[in-house]
Order: sequence, then structure tokens, then C-alpha cells
Amino acid sequence: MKISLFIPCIVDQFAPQTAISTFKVLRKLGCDVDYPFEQTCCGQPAFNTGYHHEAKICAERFLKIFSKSNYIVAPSGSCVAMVKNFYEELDLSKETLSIYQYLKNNIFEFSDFLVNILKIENINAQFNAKVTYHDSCHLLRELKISNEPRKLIQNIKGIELINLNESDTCCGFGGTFSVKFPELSAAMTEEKVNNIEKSGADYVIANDVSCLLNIQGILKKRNSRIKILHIAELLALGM
Amino acid sequence: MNELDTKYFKKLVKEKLSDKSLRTIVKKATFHSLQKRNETIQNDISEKWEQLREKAYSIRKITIENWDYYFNQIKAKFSENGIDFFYAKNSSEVCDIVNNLLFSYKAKNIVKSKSMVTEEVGLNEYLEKFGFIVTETDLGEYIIQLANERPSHITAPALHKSRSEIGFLFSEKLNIDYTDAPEKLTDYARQILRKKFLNADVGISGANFLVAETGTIVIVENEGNARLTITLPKLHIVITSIEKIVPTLSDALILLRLLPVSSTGQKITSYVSFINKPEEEDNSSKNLKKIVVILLDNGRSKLISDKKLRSILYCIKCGACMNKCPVYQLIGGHAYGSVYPGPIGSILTPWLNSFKDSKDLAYGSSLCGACSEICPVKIDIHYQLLRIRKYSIEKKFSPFIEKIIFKIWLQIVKNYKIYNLLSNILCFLGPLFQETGLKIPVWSKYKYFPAPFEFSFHKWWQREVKTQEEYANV
Amino acid sequence: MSKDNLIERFNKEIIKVNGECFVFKNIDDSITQIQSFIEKEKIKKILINDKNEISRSIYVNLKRTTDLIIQAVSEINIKNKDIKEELKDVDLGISYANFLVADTGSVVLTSSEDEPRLLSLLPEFNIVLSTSNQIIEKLEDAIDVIKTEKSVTVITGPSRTADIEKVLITGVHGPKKLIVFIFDK
Ligand code: SF4
Repeated sequence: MKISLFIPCIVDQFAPQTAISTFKVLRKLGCDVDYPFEQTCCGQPAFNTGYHHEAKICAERFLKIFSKSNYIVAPSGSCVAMVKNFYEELDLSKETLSIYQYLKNNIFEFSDFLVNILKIENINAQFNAKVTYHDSCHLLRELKISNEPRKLIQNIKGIELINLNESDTCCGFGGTFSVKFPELSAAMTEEKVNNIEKSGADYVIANDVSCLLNIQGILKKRNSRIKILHIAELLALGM
Repeated sequence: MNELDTKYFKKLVKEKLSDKSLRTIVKKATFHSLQKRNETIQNDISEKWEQLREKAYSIRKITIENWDYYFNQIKAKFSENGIDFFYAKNSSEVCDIVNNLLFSYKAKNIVKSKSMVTEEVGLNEYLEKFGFIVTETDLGEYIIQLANERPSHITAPALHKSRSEIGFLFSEKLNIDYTDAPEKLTDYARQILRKKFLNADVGISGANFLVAETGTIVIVENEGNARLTITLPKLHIVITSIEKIVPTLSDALILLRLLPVSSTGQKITSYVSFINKPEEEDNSSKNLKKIVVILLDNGRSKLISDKKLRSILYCIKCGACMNKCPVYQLIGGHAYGSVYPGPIGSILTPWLNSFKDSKDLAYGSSLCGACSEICPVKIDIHYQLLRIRKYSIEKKFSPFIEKIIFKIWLQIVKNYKIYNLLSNILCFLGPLFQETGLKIPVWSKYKYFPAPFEFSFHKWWQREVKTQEEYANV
Repeated sequence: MSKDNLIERFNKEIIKVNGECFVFKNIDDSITQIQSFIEKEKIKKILINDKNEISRSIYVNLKRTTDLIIQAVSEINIKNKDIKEELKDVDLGISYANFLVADTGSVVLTSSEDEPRLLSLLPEFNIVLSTSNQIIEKLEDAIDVIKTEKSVTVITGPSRTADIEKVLITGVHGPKKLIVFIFDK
């Protein structure tokens, strides 16, 4: 199966391990993975702030770069949702609109792709730890993915998946929101981290690097022993 | 009166965030409502909730898309049923109409049951200026009126007040011994308000649905104050907004299955009044009571004609989006400075009031979409937030520096070579900041900001997977 | 749904909303119930909608067996008195329902000369009379009545509020207690 990796810019620079893990897991599962090298950003930061003109330029660029891809897989719910759902809001040109109509059905978040396309719920990994899972907002609500990652986690040998209270409440990141309303954003993250700490887990798992880094922002401030871990890394770790 | 202005949103957010007792009360109250809602949906609703939402959505969609038609239909029905009807373009028109009515009825004492639209209009202040005595009769609204505040929630106006605050308020304003027992406080209010009801000349209420097919006014409530408001005085004025119309009575009954569940977790409220025609004044006379309906526009018809924005008006004012909103839970309703707080307020207010002053409301959201997910009529609330942001940029309301940043940013991401060059520099410097994290103004006061990793994925790929053989070896 | 099922369902639902429901085979049993209620709640004045066979005989019966002030709506009508005045110190209103709704445990009342809207609203206690034939499954089944009457009120449990810290209090502006009597022969 031919796959094009879509690595969101924040993953590219802040968490390349996540991207490498994504690549390795997919490879191990027999996929032919390619990385369109010209890719940069899907346009979400501009779009979320209201800069549709700038976002549209990014979107059209993105669509052209991936226009020949069979499947697009990304280790992020938020950026997949951006392409799959929010591009609809941009006034795309005729040419790119037709690419979009095709691509939006072929772009998948990593865990979604594993479970629903590759039909793999158990990758025969082992990892001895107590973990808890945070539902990233756009993964959960835009892509409706919540069981898939949980299945993948539960099937790892030696792992204990602990329920996270209010797991579907936003971690408070929200991109531009965390810059414009830093106090509010931080207060939300504090609540999230309170719940994570109460869970008693050693690791908090999520499918979005942005949420994880945001959560880590408070964990580090608190000198917490709890570590963040992207699902792709978790799966790759125990492989 | 509390400063009510969306201009102060950012400032108020900070202020409310530091009020820990407010946060405890708001969280407790919203959680309580959400929990009851979820239990009821799980245990007591026979149909599938998602199917019900779908039905409700299409009812609201059809109504708003064909609003002109239903508006004319209901106008005709009202006149057939002997109900007087006014369309008011803006708040001051509502005030004038009410004022004239009150004068012609030589009214002095007015009882009111909950109506958010009269809050929007600022009716109480207006009427008080003319010497009318206006009493809010919903317990929550009464508390708010005594405290000289505004509702902090559309269905639970006094949600932000603790029982002891209410206790002190009652003892100060009503001259009674302090108690914080909710039963006792409720009982005091009942006694005082009962007298007000019996002496009232005019009753003013809102309405939940107006049925075009029959001209029926539907009012949903729990306390019985709306029933008293519409029954006791000889003139009943209904004040609501133009989008409250629904096509048929069975449509109204479907919406009625979602509204109380979403608000309070009740399958149905204690009272639902369906009013078709005025009744006799009392059984001794053949005089009919009078019912007057006033529908406020205030910019809504403009929204109706905008295909992308009109879904805002599907709202049935259940308040679920505020209960569920993680931002509302932390700051309560007053921080918004708008009549309608929470997610629905943030998408409605900018279009009704000064856009420039209230656009910040739309930025005070992480776009998590919890509101859209819970909304019984499936309003795309977080998409509407994004549309306000877009309009705000189009209107050039954004800070200059932000504009520059995005201009530069675009130049970078448009060209992957520049992008990679910069990203390699950042990643090269990254390890220097690994321990301390990057120092980002304001942000770093609250959170550690990560440093870029020592190499980017682009770099890694270039290094490791350039050629086919290398690819096979990774 | 069979009649028994409807009764059972109605009963189950009204209990959930803090209402009460009694099923009687005959009028005499209901009188005993009312009498003990009067004693327990120290009722002093009753007003009853007496336009119906059942309610009429309850009225006559109560009048004979207690020495409270009991008035029938029809008498007030004849005397041309103001209902509002008359209801001021009534503490128990006895209404007669058009329908009972099994799905929600609701009572459907249409206003009329015999069933003034205030009867089920102003007094502290409200007893609603009905027969098992009047139970409908869902509110939708009453849609024709809702369409044609001047006004219709759907009552589900006693008046309530949770405006103070979400603590549930019954009896705010309307009745503290709502009791439904179902006569099932
Ligand atoms: S927007 Fe939806 S959830 Fe919010 S008050 Fe309106 S109907 Fe309720």
C-alpha cells in the first residue's frame, strides 16, 4: 500500500521522533511510505486566526503537493481535520477544489488509518507502564476517532490503560487562543493536568503533538514525573 | 449595574479567573446540569438522541430558510386568534411599544417572567425610568434583580451566586434574618412575589416557541411564575425575537423533547403552557384579556439572509453549550460582558452589537467544539467562531504586528527551501534551550514552552531515506 | 400499550418528578385518601372543579363528611365572583384532567369556566382527578386538543426550582404537591 506521510510543521520541528515512529510503524506494517518533501504547513495557524487569504494559499499549495497521493497519513487529528473538514471553509479555486474533493476522503489520522484501513488493532508491541489517554478535540469531534487509539493501546502487552477523568475536555491549547488568552489557556491546562495526575498514570498518551506539548508545558512547571508520549511513539517503542 | 460591555472581555477574563470561589460554584452547577442531562438521555429517552437532534436541526433549518413565509403565516394567525402583534426593528422600538401599552392600560405594577430578549432590549431600566415598578418573578431572575446584576447564564440566571451570597442579599434587601437555607429563601421569595402577582396590572413574558400553523405561544418553565404572569394580569405582553417561530405544533413538540433535557436534564419541565387565544378576564365578565406579541429583530433578519451565518439563529436557548464549555466553566457568564454569554453568546453578540467591540469573544475559545457537539439543534458553533475571526481580519480589526507576522509566515511556508533553512537553524539552536524551554512573552509565565528538537523530520528524512537502498535500511 | 401498562408507566414517571399517583376502584376509597391528606397537611379551604360525575360526587361526599370550607367552581360561577379573590386562601385545588400522559407522567389541563387556570396554580396543593381511559401514551396524542382549545397547560410534577446552587425545591410559585387520582373501574 502506497502512503504519503503528512507531517505537520509542529511535529517536524518539535517532535520529529513522532514522525519517525509513524514512519517506522507504517513501514513495519508493510506500507510503502513516501514523504513529499516540499510540504510545509497546512495553513491551520492562519486559518484559526482568521487569515483566510494566507490559509488558502497554504491549502492550495498543500493540495497540489499531495494531489498524486493514494493515501495521506498524518500523526495528528487536528491537521487532518484542517484538511479534511476546514478546507471547506476556504474559498478554494476550481482546480484545487477538485483535488480537495478527492483528497478529503483519502487523508487519515494515524490511528484511524491503522484500525480502519489496515484493519490492525494489535501491532504485537510490549510496553510495561501505566498510561492514560487524552482525547484531542479535533480528533474526537471532527474525525470522530475515540475507540481506535484506545484499542491500539489496550492491545499492547504489559500496558495498563487508566481512565482519564474528563478525557474529552480540551487541554486548552487552541493555537492562537493560547497566545491571545494565555491565562485562560493555562487555567484549562491546569485542570487537564490535575486530572492526569489524579489518574496515577506514568504516561499521558494522545494523538496530537500540539496537545501533548501544551500539557507538558504545565507538567514541567510542576516538575511532574509524568511523561507525554504520542501514540505513534508508544507503538514504535514496544515494537 | 455591573459594567456590561464586551470591550472588557480580556480584562474580565483575568479578573474572573482569579476568583476561585466563583469557579467552584460555576463548575459545580454546570456539572450538575450536564450529569442530569446525560443520565436522562441514557435512561429516559426512548428515541436515539442523535436522530432527535437530526430532526430538530432540520426543523430549525427549514424555519430559518423559509422565515418570511412562516413570519407571514404567524402574523395572519395571530390576528385570526385575536392576538395583537408588533414587529420591532430594534430595542428602542420594543421599549416604545411597551411604554405605550402600559400607559394605555394605566399600569403601574409589572410582573415579568424570564425573557432574555427583554435583557437584550434593556427593558427594565427603561421602564423604571418612567416610574413603572417592574418585578422579575423567576427566582433566579429575582435574585439577580435584587443584586442589581445581569443573568450569568441564559437558563440559570443566578448560577454564579452561592447560597450564602443569596442569604446576605435577601437579609439586606428584604430585611429578614439571615439564612442560607435554599428552602427558606425560596419561601420568602414566594411570599413576596405572590403579593406582587396579585397586584400586577401587566405581565411580561418571553416565549420558547411560536407556532406558525396555529399561532400558538409555547412557554416552558418550572416554577409556575410564567403561568401566573400570563394568567393574573389583564394584559399579557410576550416579548421575544423573530427566530422563535416553528412551522407546526408537532415541530414544537419535537423541539420540546430536546429543550428541557438539554437545559436541566428534565424530560419535560413542570409546566408547558400552550396559548392560542386570549381568555375571558374573569368568569364574571365577557371582557377578554389582551395578549400582545412583540418580535424583536435587532439585526437578526440580516443574519437570516446570510447562508453561512443563519445557523446561529437555530438556537433554542437551552444553555447546554455554556454548561459544556470549558471556558465558561472557568470564568462564568459575566466575563463575557454580553447579554448572551458562553458559546452561543460569542457567535451571536458580534452580529447584534458593535462587531469591533465584541469580536474578541470569538477568539476566547480553543475551538474545541464541545459546544457544537452538545447543541441539540446541531449549530456549527465553532465554525461560526471561525467565521467571526475571518470577518474580523477582513475588516482589518487585527493588531498590526499580527498582520505582519502572518505576512512573513506566509512567505516562509510558501517556499519549502526557506522553510527548511529556517527550521534547520531553529533546530540547531534548540538544544541550547532544552532545559529552560523557549521564553515566550506571557505564555512562559504559565507554561514551559518547548525548544525545537535537534533536527527536523525533513532533515532526518534527507539524511536517512534519500535513496531507495537507504529507505530499505531504515 | 394496554390500560394497565399505561397506568403503570404513568405512575413510574410521575414519581420521578416528585408527584404522587393513586389508583382507585371507587369514589369512597378516594374520599378516605383525601380526608387523611386534609388532616396531614392541615387543609382549611378547598375549591373543586365539580363539572364531572366523579368530581361532583367527591364534592358532595366531602361536603357531608368534613367541616372544612369546600366550594365548587360552579357555585362561584353562579355567584359571579372573581376566581382570583375566591382562590386567595384556598389551600387545596382539585382539578379535573383532560388527559394524563404516560410517557412523561404529565397532566394535560385545558382552561374553561369549570377549570380556571388558577385552580391548579394558586393553591399550595393540587389534586388532579382522572380516569384510566384518559391516559394517553405521548403528548403528541393530545395535539388536536392543544390546537383547538384557547389554552392548554401541561403539568409535570409540582412547581420546582433549582436556582439556588442547583438544590431542588418544590413549591415555588405553584403547588408544593401534585397528586393524581386515577379512577379505574
Ligand atoms: S447554541 Fe445550541 S446548545 Fe447553545 S443555547 Fe443554543 S440551542 Fe442550546
